[in-house]
Amino acid sequence: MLNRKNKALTIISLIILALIMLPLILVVITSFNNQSSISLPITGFTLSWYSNIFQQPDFITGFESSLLVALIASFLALIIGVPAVYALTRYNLHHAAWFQSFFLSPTLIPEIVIGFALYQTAVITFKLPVFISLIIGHFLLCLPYVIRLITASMLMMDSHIEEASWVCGCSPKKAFFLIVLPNIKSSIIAAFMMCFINSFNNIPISLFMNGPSLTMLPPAILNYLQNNYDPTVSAISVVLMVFTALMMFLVEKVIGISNITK
Amino acid sequence: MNRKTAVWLLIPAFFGVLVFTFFPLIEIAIPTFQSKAGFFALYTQFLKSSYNWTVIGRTFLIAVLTVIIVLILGLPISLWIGRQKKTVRQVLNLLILFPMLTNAVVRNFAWIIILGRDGIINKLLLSLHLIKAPLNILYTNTSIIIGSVYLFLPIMINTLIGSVAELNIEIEEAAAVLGSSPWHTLFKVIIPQLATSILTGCILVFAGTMTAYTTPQILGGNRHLVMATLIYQQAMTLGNWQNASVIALILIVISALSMWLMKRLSYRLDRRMTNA
Amino acid sequence: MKFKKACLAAASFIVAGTAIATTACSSSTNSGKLVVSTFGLSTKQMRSDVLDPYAKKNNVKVSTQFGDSSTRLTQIEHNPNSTVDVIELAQNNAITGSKKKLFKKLDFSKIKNFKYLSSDQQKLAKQTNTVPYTVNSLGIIYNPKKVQIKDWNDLWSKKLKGKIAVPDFATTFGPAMLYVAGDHANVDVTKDDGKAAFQAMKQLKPNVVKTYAQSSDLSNMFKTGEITVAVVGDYAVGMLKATNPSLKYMVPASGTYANYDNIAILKNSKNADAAYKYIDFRLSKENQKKVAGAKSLNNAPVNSQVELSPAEATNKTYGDIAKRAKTIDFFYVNSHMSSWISQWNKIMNQ
Repeated sequence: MLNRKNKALTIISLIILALIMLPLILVVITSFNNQSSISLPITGFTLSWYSNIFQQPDFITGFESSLLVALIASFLALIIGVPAVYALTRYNLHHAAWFQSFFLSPTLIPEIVIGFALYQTAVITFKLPVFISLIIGHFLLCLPYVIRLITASMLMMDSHIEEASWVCGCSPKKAFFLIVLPNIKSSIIAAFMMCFINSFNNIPISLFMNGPSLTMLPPAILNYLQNNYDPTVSAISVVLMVFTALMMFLVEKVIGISNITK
Repeated sequence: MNRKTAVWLLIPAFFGVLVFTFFPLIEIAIPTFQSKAGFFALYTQFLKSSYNWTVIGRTFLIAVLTVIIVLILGLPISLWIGRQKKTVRQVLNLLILFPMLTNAVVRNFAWIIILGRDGIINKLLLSLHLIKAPLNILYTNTSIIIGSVYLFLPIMINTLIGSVAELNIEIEEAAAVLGSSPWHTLFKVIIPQLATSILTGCILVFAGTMTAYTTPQILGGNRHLVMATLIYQQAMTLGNWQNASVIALILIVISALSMWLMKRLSYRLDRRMTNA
Repeated sequence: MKFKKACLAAASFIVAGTAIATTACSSSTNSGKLVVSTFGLSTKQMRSDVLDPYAKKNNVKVSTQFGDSSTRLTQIEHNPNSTVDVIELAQNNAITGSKKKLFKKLDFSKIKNFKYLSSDQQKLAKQTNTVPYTVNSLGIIYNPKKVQIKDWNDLWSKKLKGKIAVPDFATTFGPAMLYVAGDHANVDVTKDDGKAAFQAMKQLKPNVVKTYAQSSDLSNMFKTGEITVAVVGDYAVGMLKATNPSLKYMVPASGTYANYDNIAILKNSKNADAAYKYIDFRLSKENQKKVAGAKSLNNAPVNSQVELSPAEATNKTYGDIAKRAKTIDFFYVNSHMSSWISQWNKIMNQ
């Protein structure tokens, strides 16, 4: 029987689980090595690679701009995405399913192609500043998460509650803010988290949308990895992992982490 | 209810996607059909080169192998996690989610430490005297596959766990009582019930691997280009935008086509099961 | 109305963010600013030894884009609204750029230090409408604990199976690598459209682990033991030795090939004044001497007034090596570029 007590299954699963965690653990270990190359086993303990992070202007400004872009793009995706989902789920529109897949379509386009094509349209044809184009690119990355997660919870929500509030004299606008939004709160937070994390970690789009004095963190790390093969990369990786863990913890506290992968 | 409001609510998202996803695609597509030599000339020219076929083949092969390996590894662990008690399952879920949400650069970089000439695997094999000289694993197709499997395994597990938890274990018990071996039960009872989520997982992994840029860039080097890295090379290093657009469109067509085929397959499976 | 407030806050946040961004972007075209596009190697030294002193001296605010020569040229070529004022490029990219008329017609009288360039360099400058500011050449860097290298032909030795990295064709020294292969086959590349050279590359292939796009990739590969020998431009030697002190660099006595890095002013630069000053600064005796340091950019000087001691001249295209360095016919190379790239890819990257 393949239940959780099956020994063979347990052993196989534990091995796979170890394989999933091991590489990340190795990165953590190498970040403390006192040698100037990333190698194992480590010969001594030092924290100097962590302080070296702060001497890399690209990491500091990269972190700031990645943070800014991820926040703006996620907010933008929510502000544009939530009303669209509301319209699709609450008004009996023709072709609602068609709109739904239309909004999800950016996921079908490889990110590298979005970066390449958007560079031509936004930067060259429309003459938008690179920063704005970058936000647009990340917005396209985020929108499908908003559409998918919010649609699921809008459909779960009983529309009679909203209708009841109309009957009781609430204007549709007021009802939206007082009734609908609080009801889908957790999926809004979930969508925001997914948007934020995916935008913050993105490489292919950021690679194309670069320009003078505009560095994003992941390409900066990639560049550093290619230029200097030293444990600073491990150190910044650990910092990013802690950052991820922190956000997961926050989400777990606020809405329960299982919400973000529905 | 007011239709007009609905339209207003839809407009920003609609034009956002239209102007910044579809318009750019059309904009890169048009020049690829404007060659003097004919409508499809650039495409036939691209597909004539054996080098380009190697890249397309490599991209496809890596994606297919990754899907297969991810499935083989993902299925048992999903069965195991999905059948734990709720609290244990939640903890394990977190462990799976964590790598999924960690930056891809970090996850790929970890494999350089493991697969390099002076990496752990080579050191281990050398000290065990299993090999005389270090193996070349990094910067090969193998390292790209290993990296992709690592990248996408959590996604497969995450897709499967939910439906595993919903499986009714009594059906398996019944099968066992009727004399079915565990293997037989796995293939005849469990997998058919999971078919839809398995296909969803496969589609996600396949599409992700086909179009991934970071993994082949870090673990493949430019001797093992895949379509995504070839697009970047053509576009930015060689400045040949027409060619980059041709490859981009071919990549979109191939991945969309294979996803559509898989989806068709999953509908069919769905129908068969509801009928049965 | 908690949520309305939240939405308002979000909206104002976006507006503020975009406003900051647009001001940041638009201000870069103001008169007191110069946008420099340059190589991504040794960004730290580039800032501290060139950009910062220049900015201080001329009271100009400098912002920079770092990256590969060809990538930056591509962006400039396709983006007519680029804010870049001056661009530093490898020779072949500079020729391509000037052919495509991306650069402002230079008034050489505005560059005081121009007269200190050799007559050949002045000729090159007038030909390409760009100013050479340093010269580098191709050599071999290797790990002396594992192998000994004396000549280009040693690269073809069977002992080096799976141990070499060579520059990819699309990079600065890609064409030079093909010239070296032509020399190995005893046929000048320009005599047979590179046929014999590509044959020689085919023979070299079993030895090649990687054709690298960025010389910085090498540092990493030497460290992980992926390679023991690499064919490399001398500008990268300082960076490689800093991370791998045991490496040895040599330029074969039979000769090598040179590449000039050039500066150009872009056609739609709004601050040509500061741009000319930048070129002049880059050619000045003091700065040429400073960036020639091994711990600086390791740039060989082109200003004839700069004298380097033997110690300073190591690993540079200077003195003897400069005399041995032959030039590459980039006009010939560029006319064969697309066919050679596909041949190269077929042989080396398949």
